[in-house]
Amino acid sequence: MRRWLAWLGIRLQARLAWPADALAGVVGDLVVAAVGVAVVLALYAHVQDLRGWSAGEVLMAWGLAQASLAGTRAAFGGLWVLNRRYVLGGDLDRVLLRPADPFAQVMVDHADPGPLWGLVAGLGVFGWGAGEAGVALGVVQVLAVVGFVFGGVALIAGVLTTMASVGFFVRHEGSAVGLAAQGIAFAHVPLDALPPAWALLVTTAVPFAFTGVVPAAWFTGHAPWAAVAWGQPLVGLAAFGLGQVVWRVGLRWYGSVGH
Amino acid sequence: MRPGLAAARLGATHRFTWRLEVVVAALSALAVVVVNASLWIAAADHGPVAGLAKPALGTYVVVAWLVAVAVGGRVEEWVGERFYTGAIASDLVRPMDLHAWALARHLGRSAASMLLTAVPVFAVMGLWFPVALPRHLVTWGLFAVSVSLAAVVGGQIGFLVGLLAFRLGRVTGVAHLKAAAVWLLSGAMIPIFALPVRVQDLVAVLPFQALAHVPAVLFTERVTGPEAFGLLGLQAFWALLLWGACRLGWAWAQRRIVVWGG
Repeated sequence: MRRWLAWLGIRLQARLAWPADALAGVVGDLVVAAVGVAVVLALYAHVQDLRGWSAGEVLMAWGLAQASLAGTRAAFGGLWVLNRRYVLGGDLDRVLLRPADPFAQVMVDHADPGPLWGLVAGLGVFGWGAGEAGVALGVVQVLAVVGFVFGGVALIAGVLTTMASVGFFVRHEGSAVGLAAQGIAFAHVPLDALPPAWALLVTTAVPFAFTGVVPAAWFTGHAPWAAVAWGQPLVGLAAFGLGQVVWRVGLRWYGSVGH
Repeated sequence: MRPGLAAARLGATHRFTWRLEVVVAALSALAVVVVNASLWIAAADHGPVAGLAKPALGTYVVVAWLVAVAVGGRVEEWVGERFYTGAIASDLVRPMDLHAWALARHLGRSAASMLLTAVPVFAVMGLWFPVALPRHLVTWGLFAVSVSLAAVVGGQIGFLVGLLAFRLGRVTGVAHLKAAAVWLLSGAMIPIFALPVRVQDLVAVLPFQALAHVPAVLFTERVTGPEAFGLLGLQAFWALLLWGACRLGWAWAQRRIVVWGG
C-alpha cells in the first residue's frame, strides 16, 4: 500500500510540474460544465417540464453523471491511452515485467487530480438542481450521492475497460474508448424523451443512464426508476467486474511489438 | 492552385484513411445528435419552441450539429501542434504559406466529413425523429454554398486560435473555450431563435452563426428568396474579414519564430 501511495505521489508531482497544461485541463472541465448547464437552462426557458422532469431534476442528473465521469478521468485516465501507448505501442511490456498488478500500474501511471475540478463542478450543479427542484439534502441523501458517484465511477470505468480491452482482439487506437465516454451525454436525458431503442440501449448494454437520470430518480421519486435506483452501485460493480474479466482474457492475447 | 488542391486532397484522404475512425466519428456525432434532438423535440410537446414546430425544430437541431461538426475541424490543434513540435520549421519552406495550406487542408477534410458523417447520420436520424428534406431544388444549391462558406469561416477561426500557440506555447485551454463558444453561439447545440434576446444580439455581431445557424435555416427553408442570399452574403463577409485577420496574424506569428538548427 505504501508503495502504491508513493508512486501516486510521484505521478501527481509530475502532473503539476506543467501548471499551464494542468490549468488548461481545469478550464476545459469548467467550460464543459458551463455548456451543459447553459443548454439545460436555454431549453427550460421555453418549457416548464420535459416529459415530467423539471429543470432542477435534469440538472441533478447532469451533475451526478459529470461528477462520475470526472472521477473516472481522475482515477482511470489510463484507459484513454491504454490502446495507443500500451497495447499498440508496446509499453505494456515493461508493465508486465513488474510484480504489481498490470491494470493498477497503468491506471496509477495516469492518475491525475486535474479532472477532480469537474467532480466539484458536477456536485455543485447537483446541489443547485436539488435546490431548484425542492429536494432536501440531509445526511442520508449526501451519503447516497457519495454511493451513486462511486457506483457511477465503477460503471463508467467498467464500460471503458471493456471497450479498451476489446483492443487486444480488434486493434484500435483507443477511439472506441472516447466514443464510449461520449455516451455519457445520454445520462441526463429523461428516458421517456429518448426513442425506445436508445432508452433500452442506455439502460442495458451501455447502462450510462445509471450514472445520471436513474440515481436522480431516487431523489425525485420518478417511477419506475426510483424503485431500482438503489441497485445502481451493484450495476456499477457488475460493469467493473465485467471490464476486469475482459481485460484479463485480453491480456493473454497481448502480443509484444518487441520493446 | 495546384498545391491548394493537393492540400485539400490530403485533408480529405486523412479523413478517409482510418476506417474505424470514420465509423467512430459517425457514431460519435450520432450519439450527440440523438441526445440533442430528443431534448428539443420533447420540449416541443406542448407547442412550437421559439416559433419552430417539431419537424422544423428536429431538422434544424440535426443539421446545425452535423454541419458544425463537419466544418469545425480541429485546425487550432493542428496549428498549435506544429508550433509545439517544431514542424513549423518545415512549413516555412513549403510552396504555400501555412494559412493557405491549413485552409485548403481543412476544406478537403470538411468535404469528406460532410460525406462520411453528416449525410449518413442525417439519413439514420430519419428512423427516430421528424426530420425533413428541403422541398425546393434551389435550396440544395444554397445549402451547398452555405456549407462551403461555413467551412472557410470555421477553418479560419481555428487558424486564428491556433496562432495563439506562438504566444501561449500550448492552445489546449483556448481550444476548449473556442469549442464552447461554437457549441453555444453557433446554433449547434441551442437553436439561435431559442437563445435569450440579449444573447441573440451578441450572436448577431459574432462570426459563429455562420458555422451552423445559417446552413440550418437555409436547409429548413425558414429563410428563402433574397433574404437567403443576404445570409450567404453575411457568411462571405465573415470569410473575408477572417481572411484579413489570419493574414495579419500569420505575419505577426512569423516574426516570433526562432528556428534553432535542423
